[in-house]
Formats: sequence, structure tokens, C-alpha cells
Amino acid sequence: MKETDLKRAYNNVLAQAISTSQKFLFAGNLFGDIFVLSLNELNKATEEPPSKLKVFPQGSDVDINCLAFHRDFLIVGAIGLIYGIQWNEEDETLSTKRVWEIKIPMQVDAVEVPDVNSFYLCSETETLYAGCGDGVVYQIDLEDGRIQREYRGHTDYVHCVVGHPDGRIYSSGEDGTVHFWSDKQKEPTAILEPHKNPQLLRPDWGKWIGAVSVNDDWLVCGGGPRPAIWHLRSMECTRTFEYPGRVHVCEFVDDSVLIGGEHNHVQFYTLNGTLQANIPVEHTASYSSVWQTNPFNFMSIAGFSNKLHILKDFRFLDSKIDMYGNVQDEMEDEDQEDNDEDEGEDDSF
Amino acid sequence: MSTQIAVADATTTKSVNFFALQAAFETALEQAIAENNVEQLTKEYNSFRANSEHDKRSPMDQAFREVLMKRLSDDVECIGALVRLSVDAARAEIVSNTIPVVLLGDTFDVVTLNKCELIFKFVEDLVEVWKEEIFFASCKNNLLRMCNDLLRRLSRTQNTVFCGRILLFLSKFFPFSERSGLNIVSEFNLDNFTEYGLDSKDHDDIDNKELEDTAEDIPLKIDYDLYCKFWSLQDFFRNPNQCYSKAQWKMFQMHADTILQSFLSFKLEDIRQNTDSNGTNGDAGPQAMDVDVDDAAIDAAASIAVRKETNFFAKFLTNPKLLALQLSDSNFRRAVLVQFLILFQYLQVTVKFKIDTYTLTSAQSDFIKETEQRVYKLLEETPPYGRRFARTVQHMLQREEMWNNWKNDGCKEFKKPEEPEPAEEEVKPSPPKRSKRPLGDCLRDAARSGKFYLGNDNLTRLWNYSPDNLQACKSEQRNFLPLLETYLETPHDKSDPAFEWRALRLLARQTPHFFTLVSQPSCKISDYLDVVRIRLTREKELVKQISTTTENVSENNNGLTEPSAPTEQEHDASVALQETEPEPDLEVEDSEPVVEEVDETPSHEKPLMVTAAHIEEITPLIGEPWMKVGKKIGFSNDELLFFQMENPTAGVACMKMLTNWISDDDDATLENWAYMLEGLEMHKAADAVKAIIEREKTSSTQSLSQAEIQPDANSNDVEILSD
Repeated sequence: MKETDLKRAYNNVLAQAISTSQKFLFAGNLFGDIFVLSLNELNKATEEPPSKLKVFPQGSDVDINCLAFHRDFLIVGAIGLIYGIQWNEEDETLSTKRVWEIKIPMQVDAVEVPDVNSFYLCSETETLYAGCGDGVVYQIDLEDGRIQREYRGHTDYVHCVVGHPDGRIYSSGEDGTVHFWSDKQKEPTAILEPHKNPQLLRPDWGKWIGAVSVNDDWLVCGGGPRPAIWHLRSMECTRTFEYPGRVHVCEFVDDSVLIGGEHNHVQFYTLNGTLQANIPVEHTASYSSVWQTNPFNFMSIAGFSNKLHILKDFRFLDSKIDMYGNVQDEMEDEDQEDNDEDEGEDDSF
Repeated sequence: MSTQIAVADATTTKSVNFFALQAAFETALEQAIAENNVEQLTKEYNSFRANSEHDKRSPMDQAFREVLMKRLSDDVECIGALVRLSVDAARAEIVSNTIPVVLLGDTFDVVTLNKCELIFKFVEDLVEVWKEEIFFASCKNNLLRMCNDLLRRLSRTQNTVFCGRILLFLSKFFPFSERSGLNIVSEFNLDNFTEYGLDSKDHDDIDNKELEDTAEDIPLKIDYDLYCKFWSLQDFFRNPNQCYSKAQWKMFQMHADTILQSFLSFKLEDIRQNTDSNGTNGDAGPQAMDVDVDDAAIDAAASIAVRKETNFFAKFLTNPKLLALQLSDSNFRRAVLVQFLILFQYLQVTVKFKIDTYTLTSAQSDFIKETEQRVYKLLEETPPYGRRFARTVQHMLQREEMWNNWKNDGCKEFKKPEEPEPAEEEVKPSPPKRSKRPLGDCLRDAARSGKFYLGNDNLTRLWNYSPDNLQACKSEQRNFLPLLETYLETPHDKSDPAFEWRALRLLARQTPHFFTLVSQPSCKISDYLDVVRIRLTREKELVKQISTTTENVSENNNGLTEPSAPTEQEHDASVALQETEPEPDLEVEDSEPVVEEVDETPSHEKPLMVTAAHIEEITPLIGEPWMKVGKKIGFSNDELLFFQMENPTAGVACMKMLTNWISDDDDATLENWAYMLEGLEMHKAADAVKAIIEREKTSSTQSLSQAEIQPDANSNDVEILSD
């Protein structure tokens, strides 16, 4: 019991993913647990409490830093490795076995194992881009698991990787830069340094860029520096957003920009920089957001708290869903299972 | 025919039985309807002298009802006519007083609702009649029953308008203090369930669960989604007394908090059409709202806005898919917020029929007070005309409180306050009108004096403001077009379409930027204007920089490239001095003084100012009596003395004095000077001045023609010195 209480208090969810069927939400935390939430339950609009979550422990030594979903695989980014586990839609279960595993190569001079901080999955080309702690973005072919290419340029670890199906990749890092890459060029096509813009710099919080997001013409990024919107071709900063905290999440959602981070609200801004919605959250810091517009509008925001925040129309907070303490099996059993799993994992390593 | 004859015979002699009477009355009634006159009927009625009043009246009643039955299929108007006739008949005391209402009631019983709606118009039209003494007492109950019967047939959700008409009629018909129309014991309409995505039996379960949860006092694990929270509130609005139960209150408090939080987190944008009132309203804050002029404008705009809104739903639509739209709809928001206010009011006021146990704890009333403020704030923030709306609601709730107090006091009858005797204000007969001059004369007089006469004093004054109206329009002062830069800098409402439109017009007129493309994330005009403003200022700075740099450059390059005047002057300073200043001297010496009368300078020409060179030239000609000139110019004795003391010779003193003069006085023109000197009979000096005038004129025309070569030689001089 005590362990769950602790977990409840210190639950830190860094990653979420939505299944290809768009029916399930996966949320992974630093305790190595993956929660699965059925989205259809949420859309029923009854006063019945939504059915409880399922939890699939990956072992307490696995920090789930990032998640992606491809075909019927859930791809987990942990420390030094990326692995895939099969999701069985019928039974709604994750297989306990890792189907495949990719180790991130250690640099010659590296002191510690690089962690996988961010995924960008390009499902058209079946390519996964992983931004890692060694400052490299690895391009991984999901067909055979080979590392096709390494994008080297960052001088510190990579926070966030995003891209565009036409082959443009954008990565932001602790070194305060946003690197623009093309899969056809070796060198970065451009480098953006928001902290050099005095308007954006917030000296107390450093120069790191925690999150970046792009659409066809615009890029939004922020972190220690203020979040701002940039024109991709002219590289000009056109709007800054008055988000008061450090930024860990920013995203283009429909016609607006979602910004979250170390603040008790996540905020939606219009592209002009006017505050549209100011949504209170319980997270000490928000770290992850996933959303879909089909078959229904749905967004989940997670972070350092035991609750997933669900938004159904991107404007109002719809509900908050507990994670620990809201799991299908009973408490005692779950704990038991947890321990069992942990042991099992330990053995295998 | 035979019966009629028989009846006719009988009338005089003996009483006739009911049916015969009825038949006779029916025929008479048909005639009366045709003539739309009750006379005929009265005559017929009175002709049966043998029957008692009582005997005759009921067949007459019956006759009316029979005729109505026959004519029901007719036009609606016919029924109206018949009712009106029956009113007259009742006044003539040939039928019972209730008959008009009975007729209407009969009609409503048998016709369709559509027709009822048409026929009800007669009921409404005759409201004054029903209120008359002879009808009110007897018809009151019948009318009420009739209306209630109708209401029962109508659907509250679909026939809202008709229902409203009936209720309005009742409220018009019954006096204020009529208790039957009142909800005296303050009951709630508990049937008004708002159903949403759940069955009612689930409802209880959930409630129980809720109770359990709160009882155990652990934080609720299940956080219902917004949809359920939102609609569950309606149940509290339906039955406010639930709030006095502790568990329910907790739930209410929680849900209300969430909903208000949601409203706060997503503010609605103001998309108002009427921008003029927008500006004053939005910027000026609460004080401007109290200005009458503004109010009038807003009134008009608001009423237009209200009139446009024709949709009305008697019940909430609770489809979950609608929720997002509903929450973003300002009308819906307002409805819900006002519901909150009504609930809070009920909870706070003392109501006679509230059970004693229904009292708020101090925590509850604190919450209510606090939340009430929040709700008002949200109402104010909900466009359009939020502040105004909030004020109106507040006012209405205050009125409601008065009604509540009235009810608590036992619904005392209203009396008009004693009207104060109208002050003996002598209504003065309007002053006898002056015999007016014929219009033609006025016009003729006006035309003669070159003026306009428009028949209205103000208009006439306006038209005669200046001699030539068209010329006046051209004057500089009539140019109200502001500079784009200054206009963009003026404080304005962020998205005031009128401002934007004007700014774009100015933009198109004054800068080429209007035709350049600005790449930008938004297509809002306000943002575009912002960008343009920034560009303009940047450009201005750039121009400044360039001009200074070119100046510097030109200095180095010996001024080969630059066209600007100041640099030229600097470089060719020595040449220019020789060319411009000594020149007049030479010319004066050469030319003969011209003694011609100088024509008055045309008004458009710049007056020729006196310069230092001129003074130098003329001073010797003035000589000793310079003090005279000084006096004429307007120096005081002290000043003249000062000049004398300070300077050794008269010439120098005179020069100082004149220099002083031209630096101070705008009137220091050559013309004035010449005139002055002539007045002092210093002809020599005056002539010299006139000569200078001539010379300057010719040189200025020359310099005009040689503008390219010597642009500023003349005007520069003048301007610098006249400063």
C-alpha cells in the first residue's frame, strides 16, 4: 500500500501515445508503468464513471521517456535503448515480451548511457527519429531496426524532435538551438538560437529549448526562453507568447498553439499571440500532450501528477483521470503483480 | 312562418314557452348579426311582454349558443362579431353577463389549436371589457377556467408564444394583488427535469455513491467529465432546496466551481457589429457606461442585437455533442450564469414559506457571496454588452427581491401613491406669434446682401459663416486627414473595425506599403497595421540615418553628389556670402531710386521681410532722427534711451534698434517700413526702401526662374532672419 501511495504522490508521466486504432491512450511514467485508457469509454457521455485503467509494468528500472505507436507496436524509449512491445487490440493487453530492441550506440568518450528523450515517428516512411542524450538524432528504419543515419550537431542533449513527412526534421536541445535538418543534407539547413533574441531570453532559466513544433510555414518553440512563433523561411520571430513558466510542451493544435510546462495552467494561444484558453491543471509541470481530431476531438495532457487531464474540444477541461488508485485490478493484487514483474525483469537482465 | 305569426300573436296576449322564444330570438339574432346591431334584438326581446325577465333571458342565452354552434365553421371574424354582439346584449341586459365568455369557452372547446390562437385575439382585445364591473365578477372564474383549459391543451415547449399570450392576458386581466395568479407558497416546478445522457434510475445510484464518497471524506476518485457536471447543475436550479442538504451542497459547490472555472478559462471574443458604441464602451470603463449619450447609442445597438436573436428554446438541449458549442455561445452562457444568480438569490433571501431548517451555514453564505461576485464578473466579461447585461440582471433581481418582500408581507393590495397636486403652473398662452415677414422678402434681402437665407436661424448662420463657402472648404483648416503615422499611434481599441478601415484608407493614400505583401501568421487587420506601423517607424529612422550619413559623406566628397541645401551652403559658404549679401548693396548704389507707388502685394505673395543688409543700407539715410522711427515702430522711451546709451553713434544705435525690431516683430516687412518712413516724412529713406522692394521682387522672380541653379539664395535669407 505504501508503495502505491508514494507512486501516487510522485507519479511523473513523460510520455503518451494513442494507438493506431485511435481507441486507446498509453501513458508511461518514470516508475516504468504503462497505463492504458480506453478512449471509447470517455466518449460515452454518461454519468457512469469511466472504466478503470489497465497498467502494464515494464520494470522499475525502465524510465519511460517517450512513447510512440506504430501499426500494432508500442515503441518505448528508455535509457540507452528503444524497444517495441506488441499491443493486442482484442484482449486489450500489452505483451510482456519485448518484440524487438535497439540499443543506442555509446559514444567513445561517453560517460553515461544516453537516454532517448524524444521520438518523431514518420509512419509514411516507417522511420523513427530519436533524439538522445548524447546530442544525436538517430534515424531508425523500423523495417529492420538499423540506424540509418545520425544527425550530429547539437552540443548538448536533445530535448525534442519533430518533423514533417516531406523530410524536414527539427530538433531542439539543451544547447539552446533548434537545428533544422533535411534528410538529404548532411549539415543542418539552419540553426535557430532563440536565446540570442533579447525579447525571448529569460536569463534565470537558461537557454535550453524544451519543445518545438512545426506546421507548414511556422515553427513554435520554447523552453528557458519565452515561447515564440517563427516563420520557417525567413527565420523571423513574429510572435511571442506570454506563457509564464518554463516550456516543456508546445504544439500546433488546429488554429491555435498549445503551450504547457512548469506552470499551473496550460494555455492555448491564437497564432497572433492572444490568450484563448487558460486551463488549470494539477501538474507541477506538464510534460506531454497527445491529441486527435478523429473520430472525435480528444486531448490528454500529462505531467508530474497522478492525473491525466482530458480535453474534449481543446477549450475546456473535461475531466481528470487518476492513474494509480484507478487501476482495474484490486490494489493488493496489483502491488503483488508489480513486485512479481519487477523481479521477473530483474532476472532477465 | 306560421309559428312566427303565432308567436307574434301570442306576444301581446300570453306568455310563450321556452322553445318558441328561443326560435324567435334565433331569427332575430341572425338579423342582428347581419346588421351588427343589438337594437333589433332588444326590440324582439322586449316584444314578449308577457314573459318575465327571467324566463326570457335563458332562451336568449340559448339562442346565442345555438347560433354560435351553427356558425362555428364560419370565418373567425364571425365568431368575433358574435362575441361582440353578445357583449352589447349583456350590456342591454337581455342575456346573462357570462354569455360572452361562455361563447368563447364553447368555441375553444371545439376548434383546433391553430384556430384558438386566432380567436384568442378577441379575448385579448376585449380585456378592458372583461374588467368592467358588470363582467368582472361574473366572468372572472369562467375566463380563468377557459384559459387554464387552453393552457392544459398546449405544449409548453412548442406553443411557447401562445402560452405566453394567455399568461400575459391573465396578468392584464386580474388586478395585481389577485392571489390566484400567485405562487404564494413559493413552490418550485419540480417537473421541469433536464434530462441528459443517463437514466433516472442511475441517477439515484450515483447520488448514493456520491453520498458515500463524501461521507467517507476521501477525495473523490471519480472525476466526472464536464458534460455530466454541467447538466447535473440543472437539477439544483430545478429544486434549490436541495442545496440545504449537506452532501448535495458539496456536490453543487464542486460542480459549480468547475463550470465557472471553465467559463473563466475560455473567454468569448467580442464580435460586435456596432463599433462606435464599442469604442466608448470598451475603452472608457464603467464610468462611460453612465453617460446618457453612450447609453442611448448602446441601447439602440443592443436592442438590434436582441431583436436579431430570434431563437428561443424552452428546454435545454443536452446532447453531449452540443456541449462545446453551447459553452462557446454567449447566450447560453448567460442563461446559465443567470440561473446561478437566481439560485443564489433564493438561497439568500428570507422567504415566508421556507422551512426553518433551510438556513445557510456561514461557510455556505460565504461561498455564495464569493461565487456571486464571480458570476457577475463572468457576465460582464461575456460579450456583447456584458457590462450592460450584468447591470440589467442585477436590477431585475433587485426588483425580484421587492416582489419577494411584498409576498412576505401578505400580498398587500397596491395603491397608487397620492399624487401630489400638480403645481399650479400657469400654462402661459404661447406668446402671440409675431407677424412674419413674407418669405420672399427675406430671400430677396438676403440675396441683395450676398447672403443666404435658409429659414432656420442656425442653418442661416452656418451658411453665412464665410462669404464663399466653397473657398472656405478648401482652406487648410478644413483638412482633417491625419498623417498615417500619427493616426496609427493614437490609442484605440485593439480590434475596432472602424479604426482599421480608416487606417487602411490612409495607408492606401499615403504610403506604398499598402501594396506590399506582409508575410504573417495571422490575417487580422490589426496585426497587419501593427507591422506596417513598425515598418514606417523603422523606415523613418533609416531615412534619418541615410541623410546624416550622406551628409557626412558629402562633406568628405566635397559635396559632389548631394542635393540637399544645407550642405551646399556649408561648402560654398564663402561664395554664397559674397553672392547673396553684398549684392543688394551694389545694386542700390547703381540703380536710381524708384518713386513709383508700390502696388499692394498680392495676398498670395510672401511679404518681403526686412533683413540686416537692408538695415545697413537704410540706416545712413535715416540719420539723426532715428528715435522718431523707433517711436513709430513702437519702442518705449526707456528702450530708446537704452539703445542710445549703449551705442556711441546714432547710426549704430539705429542699426541695433532696427535689428532688434526685425528679430521680434513679424510685421517688420519692407512695405511697412516704407510706409512708416513716409509717414515720418523721411522721403529719402522711404524711397530707398521702396527701391529695395522693387529689387527684391525682380530678384525673387528671377530666382524663381532660376530655381534649379540657385534654389535657396533668396528665401533662405528671409527665413533665417525672420525666425
